[in-house]
Amino acid sequence: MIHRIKQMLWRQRRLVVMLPEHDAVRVGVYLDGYPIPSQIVSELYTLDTAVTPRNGLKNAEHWAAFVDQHRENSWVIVLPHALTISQSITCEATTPDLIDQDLQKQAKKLSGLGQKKVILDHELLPSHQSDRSTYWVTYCQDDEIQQIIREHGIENVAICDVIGSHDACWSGIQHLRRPKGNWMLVEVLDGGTSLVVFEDHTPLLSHFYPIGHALAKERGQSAKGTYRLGGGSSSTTPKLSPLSSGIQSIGEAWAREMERTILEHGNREGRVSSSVERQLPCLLICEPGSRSDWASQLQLHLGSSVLPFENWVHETSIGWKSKNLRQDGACMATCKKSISLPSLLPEEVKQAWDQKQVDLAFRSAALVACFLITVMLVAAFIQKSMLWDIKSDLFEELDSVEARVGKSLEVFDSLKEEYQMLRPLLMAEDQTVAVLKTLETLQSISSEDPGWMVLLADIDSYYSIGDQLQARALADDTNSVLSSTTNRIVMDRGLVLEMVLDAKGEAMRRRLEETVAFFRQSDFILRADTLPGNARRSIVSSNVILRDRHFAIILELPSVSDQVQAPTSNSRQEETSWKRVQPAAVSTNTISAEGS
Amino acid sequence: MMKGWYYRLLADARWIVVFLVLWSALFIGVYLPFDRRIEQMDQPLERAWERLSQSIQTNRLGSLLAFDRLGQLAENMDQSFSSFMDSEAELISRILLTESDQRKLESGFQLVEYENAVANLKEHLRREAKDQKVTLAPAVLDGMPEPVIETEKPSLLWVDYAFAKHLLALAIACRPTEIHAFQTLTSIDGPVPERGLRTSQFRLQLTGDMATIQQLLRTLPMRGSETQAMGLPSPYWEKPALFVGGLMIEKTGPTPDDQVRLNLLAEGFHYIHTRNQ
Repeated sequence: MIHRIKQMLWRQRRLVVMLPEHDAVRVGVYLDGYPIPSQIVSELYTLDTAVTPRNGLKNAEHWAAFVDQHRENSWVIVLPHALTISQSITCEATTPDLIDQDLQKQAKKLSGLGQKKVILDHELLPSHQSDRSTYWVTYCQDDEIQQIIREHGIENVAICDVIGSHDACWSGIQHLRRPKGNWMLVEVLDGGTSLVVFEDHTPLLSHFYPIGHALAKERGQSAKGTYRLGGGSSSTTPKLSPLSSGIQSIGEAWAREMERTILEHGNREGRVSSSVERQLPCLLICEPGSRSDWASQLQLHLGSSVLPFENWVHETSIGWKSKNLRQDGACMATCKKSISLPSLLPEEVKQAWDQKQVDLAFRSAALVACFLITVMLVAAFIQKSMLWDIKSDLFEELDSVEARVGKSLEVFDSLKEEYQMLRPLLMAEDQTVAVLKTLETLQSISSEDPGWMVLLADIDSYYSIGDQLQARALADDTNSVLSSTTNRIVMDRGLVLEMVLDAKGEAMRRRLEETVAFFRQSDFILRADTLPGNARRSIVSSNVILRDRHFAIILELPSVSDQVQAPTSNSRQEETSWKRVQPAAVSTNTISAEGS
Repeated sequence: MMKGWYYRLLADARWIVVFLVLWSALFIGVYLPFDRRIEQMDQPLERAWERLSQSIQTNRLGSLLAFDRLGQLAENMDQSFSSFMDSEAELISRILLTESDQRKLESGFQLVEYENAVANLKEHLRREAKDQKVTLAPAVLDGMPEPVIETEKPSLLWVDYAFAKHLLALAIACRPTEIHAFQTLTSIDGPVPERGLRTSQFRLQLTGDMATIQQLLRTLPMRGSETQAMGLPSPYWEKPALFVGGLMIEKTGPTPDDQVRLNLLAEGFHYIHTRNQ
C-alpha cells in the first residue's frame, strides 16, 4: 500500500531511457534513488510488426504496450550517433548571446546543414587559454528528433530530455575508472562506429563512421547502413558473411577514417600530431565475439593499445556497474548525478514536459489535500462519534440518577413516615434510659461520698407538680407571698435532681462541682449545671433537707428530633436523631442492657 | 485557458473529483446532520443537569445525595430502609400484646366480658397485694380503664386493660410499702389510624425504699421474659415493655435510708395495623 502511494506521488522518479538503434530500440527503466538510480527494466524492441518475439527481442505490439505502461513516466531519448554532431569549439565571445550566435554560426559552417532547423546546445569545457573559452557543442536537426518521436509513437509521453549519444558516453564515463591523459573511446555498433577522444574526463573530439558490425556482416550486400530513419519495416533477414572476413576487409578504411579525423582535429587546434601522439590508448566497446578482430585492426592501423571496456567498468568511484554506458550516462545526467550535458530537447517538447510537471504538481497537491481532508473528516467523525457516545451515556446516567434519586426520595419519605410514627416510642425510650442511667450514676456517687438524693423529676413533672404545690400552699396560707412561678428553665427534655450534701463550706462546694462535672461527662447528658434559685420549686418537705446543703442540678437530655436529617459532626442532638434511622443505633436492647 | 486546465485536471485526476464529490456528499449528507443531532442533545442534557443540580442543592437526603455517592444512592437508601424496618419490627415486637389480648382486640367488644375481666383483675390484684404485704389504697383499683361505648373501636379498651394489669401487677411484685394511687389518663375515644402507634398513659403513685423504686423502674421497660431471665420480679411472662413518660422521686425522711415516694407517668404503646381485606 505504502509502496503504491509512493509510486503515485513520485511517478516522475521513474525514468525511461530510450536508445533508438539500428532497426530496434533499446529501453531501460530506472528508479531514481540514493546515491544513484537503479535500472529495474532493460528491454530491446523492434518496430517491425512481422518479427516474432525471440530471446530478448520484443516486437512492435510489445513496444506499444510498453509505451502505454510507462506513459506517466519521464522519458529521455538518447539520439543515435549518426543523428548528432558533437565537437569542441573555441569561442572568443564573452556574453551569453554572443556565445550562442558564434557557436551556432561555427556549427552550421562545420556541419553544412544549411537552412534546416538545428537544435544546438553547449557546455563550457575546462580550458588552459585565458583569452578564449572552449565549449562542447552538440547539435542535430529538429526534424530528425520529431521523426524519431513519431516513429516510436511517443508523442503523448513526457519527454524530459534529448541527449546526444556521445554526450551520453561522456556522462557515463564520469564515474568509471579511465586512462590518464588523452585516450579514445571506440564503440562499434551495428549501424556504425563512434569515436570520442578524451583528455582525462573531458571530450576533445567525437565522430561517427558508418562502418560497424552490420556493415561487416552484410559486406557485399550493403542493404543496411547506419541508423535509418523511416526504416524498420524490412523483414528480410540478410545472409550473414563470416564476421572476421568482413572486419578484415573494411578494417583498414575504418582505421584510416579515424586517423584522419584525429589529424584534422589536431590541425584545427593548431597542433601537428606525431605518430606517437596519435597512438592513443583506446577503450573498445563491441560485440564480445568480434572484439579481437576490431582490436587487431586498431592496433595494426593506429598503433593503439586496446583496452577492453568490460575490464574497466567493474571499478567505479561509486560502486556502480555499468551495463550500458550510454543509457546509464543519460540517466545519471538527467537525474543530476553526473555532469551537465547539452540538451537537444525541442522547445515544444520541453513545454509539454514542463506542463506535465505542473500537472503532476497539481495532482500531487490534490492528492495531499485529499489525504488531509480524509484524515480531518475521519478524525471529525471519530470525535463526533465519541461525543455522541459520551452524551448518550450521560443521558442514560442522568436518567438513571434521576430515577434513583426519585426512588430514594420515595424511600426517604417512607422512612420519615415510619420515623414519625415511632418518634413517641423513641422519646419514651430515651426518657426511660436517661432516668435509669441517672439513677445508676447517683448510686455510684452516693457510694463514694456522703450525700443523698432528695428529689428526681423530669422537667415537666417538676414544674407542674411544683406549681400545683405552690398554688395549694398559697390557698392554704393567705399570708404567704407568691414566689415567681413563671421562672423556669427552658429545655425540651431534662431532669431536675435535688440532693443534700453532708459537708460544709469549701468541701461542700467542691463536692457539688465534682458532682456536676461527673454528670457532664456522662454520654447521655447534653448539659449539666446547678439550677438557679429563682427557677427552683419547693417540692421537698423542709424536714427532709438540711438547710444550706440542699442543691438542685439540672440535667439536660438530648431531644429526639422530629426530622430525619443527615448526620453532622458538630451536633449531638442531630446525631442522636439521625442514629435513630440507622440500623445500628435503633436497638431496643439498649434498655434491657442498661437496666441490667 | 481555465477551461483547458479544468479539463486537463479532470482527465488526469478524475479520481480526485470523484473523491471530493464522495466526501462532500458524506460531509453534507451524514456529517452535518450527525453534528446537528449531537448539538440538539445539549438542551435536554442541560435541563436534566439543572434538575439534578437543583435536586442536590435542595435535597432532603443530606449527605447521601452527593455527586461522588450517586452510584450507591439507591443501594444505600434501600439498605437503610431495610435496616430501619428490621429495627422497627424488633422495636414493635417488644411492645406487642399477648396473643390472647390480640384476639380480644380483633373480636367484637362485649362490655359484660370486659367488666367481668376487670372484676377478676381487681380481685386478683387485691389477693396479690395481700400476699406481698403491699398496702393497696382503695382508690387504686378505681383507676382502671373506663369503658366508652360510643366510640369507633371500643375493643381498644382491652389494650388499656392489659397495660394497667401489667403495670399494677409489676408494682405489687416489686413489693413497695404502699401503692397510693393509680389512674388511667387516656381514653379510647377519637379516631383510630389504619397504621400507627397508640399511646396509653397511666399515673401511679407509691412509696417504698429506693431499691424497690429502682427495681420497678428497671423492670418497667423489659418484657416479661427478659425480666424472668434476669431474676427480677415478673408476674407475667408476656408483659410488654412500658416506659417512663415522666416521674418524680421524692424522699420522705431526712436520713439516707428513709423511704421515697414515686409519682410515675407510665406509658404503653400499642401498634395498630389494620389489614386491608
